[in-house]
Parts: sequence; structure tokens; C-alpha cells
Amino acid sequence: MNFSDTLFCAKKGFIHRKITNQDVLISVGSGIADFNGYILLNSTASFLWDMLKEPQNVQDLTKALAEEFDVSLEEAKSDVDEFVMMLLDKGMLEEI
Amino acid sequence: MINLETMPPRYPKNGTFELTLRCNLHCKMCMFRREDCENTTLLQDEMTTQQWVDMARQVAEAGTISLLITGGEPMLRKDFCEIYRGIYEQGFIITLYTNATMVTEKVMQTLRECPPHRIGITLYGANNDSYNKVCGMANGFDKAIEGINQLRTLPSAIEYRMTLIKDNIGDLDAICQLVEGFGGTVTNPLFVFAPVRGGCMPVQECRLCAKDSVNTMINRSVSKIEEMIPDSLKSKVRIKLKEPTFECHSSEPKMTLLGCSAGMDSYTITYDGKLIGCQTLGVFSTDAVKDGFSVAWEKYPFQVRLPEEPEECTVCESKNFCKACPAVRMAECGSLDGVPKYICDFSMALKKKVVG
Repeated sequence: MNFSDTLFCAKKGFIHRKITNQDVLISVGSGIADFNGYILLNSTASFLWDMLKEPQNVQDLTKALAEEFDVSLEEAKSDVDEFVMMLLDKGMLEEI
Repeated sequence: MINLETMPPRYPKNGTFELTLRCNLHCKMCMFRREDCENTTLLQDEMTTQQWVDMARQVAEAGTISLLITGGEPMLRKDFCEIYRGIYEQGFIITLYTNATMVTEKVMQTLRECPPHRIGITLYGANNDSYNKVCGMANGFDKAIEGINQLRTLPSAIEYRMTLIKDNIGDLDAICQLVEGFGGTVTNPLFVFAPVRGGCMPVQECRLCAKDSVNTMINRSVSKIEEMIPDSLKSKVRIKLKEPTFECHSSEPKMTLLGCSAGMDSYTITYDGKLIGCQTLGVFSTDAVKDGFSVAWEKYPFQVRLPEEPEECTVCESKNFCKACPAVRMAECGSLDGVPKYICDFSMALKKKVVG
């Protein structure tokens, strides 16, 4: 799927917290009807989720991820696509 | 003396915030309820709105993920909505315990905006007569049903609980039916504790005898399992009760602090700001308001002084069925090394039921 022109933003309804060294997203508000619990995030997911608190497109996410974790743009693009698809599938992301 | 090196790591992931010990009901079997004349003092000693919200911030920083908000009846506090919202906004998996008789429009507005992940509702009978007998509230059943109907409009998962005593055991089937109508099931504690932490209610007079308590528990469990067996297989399936093979928790105090998760990965902050390992055991505590949560949590193990388990218990033939723990011993005997007769009767009755 081509997301090149689309801006994405994390939906409200999750609180991003650190539990010791582990990042978690805790579902809050009316969204608990769909998902009642919490999600553990790895470091890249946590980084991307933080960025998605503001509207972002896939290119910007990819570039930032590649810089932050010192990986190739191809590898970063693959991770971003997978993460965005998963969030869309779970209804955690909205297209602006 | 506690040896921290031989214990698994401690981590405060599950918290209980006891917002108040006060309650609008006067349940005969309540383990916590104090005399009404103590209410003024209890109220004066309660943590303030800001102290609770600040405590929530501290426990979030310390790594707590699940938080139970309970009482007493937490909705009895005039500032319940402010405290609740302040806690919720820090981000926890929230469980709220209530008797559902004080669900006002203001409370509902708060809960709609900040729905708890789980609500535990305790029912005390299937009609107003039972509520009057058990809780001293003549229209208690009507109020509870009114509250439940409100709470059921929330996206929260709801669990229904019931404490069985002589006065409401006859209501059990009706309550189960009622709750089935809500799409839920009823759970009840294994047995009813004697009063703890200064509680004053006549629990020992109104609770079921150990044998009746065991019979009710086993019969309910068996019938629940039977309901899950398809009709076509019912004649071919036989339910067999089996003796547990594990050692009872109370024999392992050195691996933990109290023989369970209390003080290891869970804790309670009491209405007056003490940190205790378990809400039912108040003899060991640290001061979470004065010292702050993290220091109080680190200090807690050094407050725990457990005597050896009574020899009578270590050689008891019903040991594998025994649910005695330091909190139970303290509640039933007034000492940490007492032999709790009611629990002995319960364990023996359970063993007889299971292995004959």
C-alpha cells in the first residue's frame, strides 16, 4: 500500500507510560470497549508512537527512524510500513 | 529477620488505594467496618484529594500498572470524582470496587469520561429485605440495581461478587439468575474473615459454619463445570475432585515476605497514608505520605517480622487444603502464630469433601 501522501496521527485513547524500563500504552476512555488492557512497545515502536502524537507522513517517520537507530532507509521504511499497517488494523491511527 | 538476598526481586506493579474506611452500608460481615462514632476521626485522618493524586503520580513513577480503587465505599468521599479523575489521568489499568448504591449523575459523568477497565460490584441480597438484614439499608437492593443499571452503560468489564452469610445464603440462586440477566457471573470469597484492622462487626456470628461454606463452594463449582459439558457427553463425563499436591502458602514465608505476592509485587495504601502489603494485614506498615512511596516501599520488608508457623500446622493432615496465612491468623486469633479454628474446620471439611 502506498502511504506517501497520507498524514497519520495516533488516536487519543492511550496513555504512553514507562513501567521501569518498558514502554507501555494503556488504553483509556471509551476506547476500552474495543481494547481493554495495555500494549508493550519495543524501542522503535515507542519512538514512532511518540512521533505520531503529531501528524506525520511515512517519509518523515522513515527518515527519523533511520537517523535515530542508525539503520538504512530501506530497513526503516519496511519497519514503518509494518507498524503503520498494524496500527491502522487495530484502529489506533487516524488519517488526517 | 528478612533476608532480601534469598527473596525474588520486589516490584510494585499492583496497587490498592483504599480511599476511605467509611461506608454507607453497615454489613454484618464486613471485616473493615468501624463503629459509626469513629467516623469523625476516620474522616480527619483520610488523605486529602491532592495527596491521593500525588500518590498516584508517585506509584506511576515507581512502576505500578494495575490500581484497585476501593474502600470502605469509595464513592462516599465527597471528592471521589476529583480523586478518581486525578488518578485515572496518570494511566493505570483501573479496577473500581463499589456497592453501587451511591452512583450519582456526577459520578457517572466522571466514569463516562474516565471509564474504569473493570468494576467489581458487591451484591448483598436479592431483595430489599435481605439488604436491610445484611447491610441495614431498607432500600439497598433498589439503590444497588439502579446503580448497576447505570454502571452497565459504561464500556468497563463488570464482575459481580457476593459475600455469603446466614442471612443471604437463601438468595444465592436468585442473585445468580439476576446477574446472568446482566450477562455476568457471581463470585464469592472462599470464606469470610473475622474483623481486621480494628473492624467491629459481628462477623463470627453471621458467617456460615465452615462445613456449609465448603459445601456451597464445592456444589457451585461442580455445577458450573457441569454447565459447560455438552448434553451429549453428560452421561459419559464424571467430575472427580482431586487433592492439591502443592504445599500451602503459609509454609513458604522465607521465599516471599508473607507467603504470597503481598509486599512483593502488590501493596495497599491505606486511607491514612500507610503502605501495607495486604489490605487485610495492618500490623506491618510504613508511612507513604511522610516518606514518599518509593522509600516506604523499600522500607516495608524490614517491618515484617513473622514468627515460625505453629508446629500443629506444619504436621496437620489437612495442610494441603489450608488457606491460613499471616493475615488470616491475625484476623482469627489476634496473633500471627495462632491456630485459626474456623480455618482448621474449613480445611478439614474441604479435605473430607474431596478425598472422603
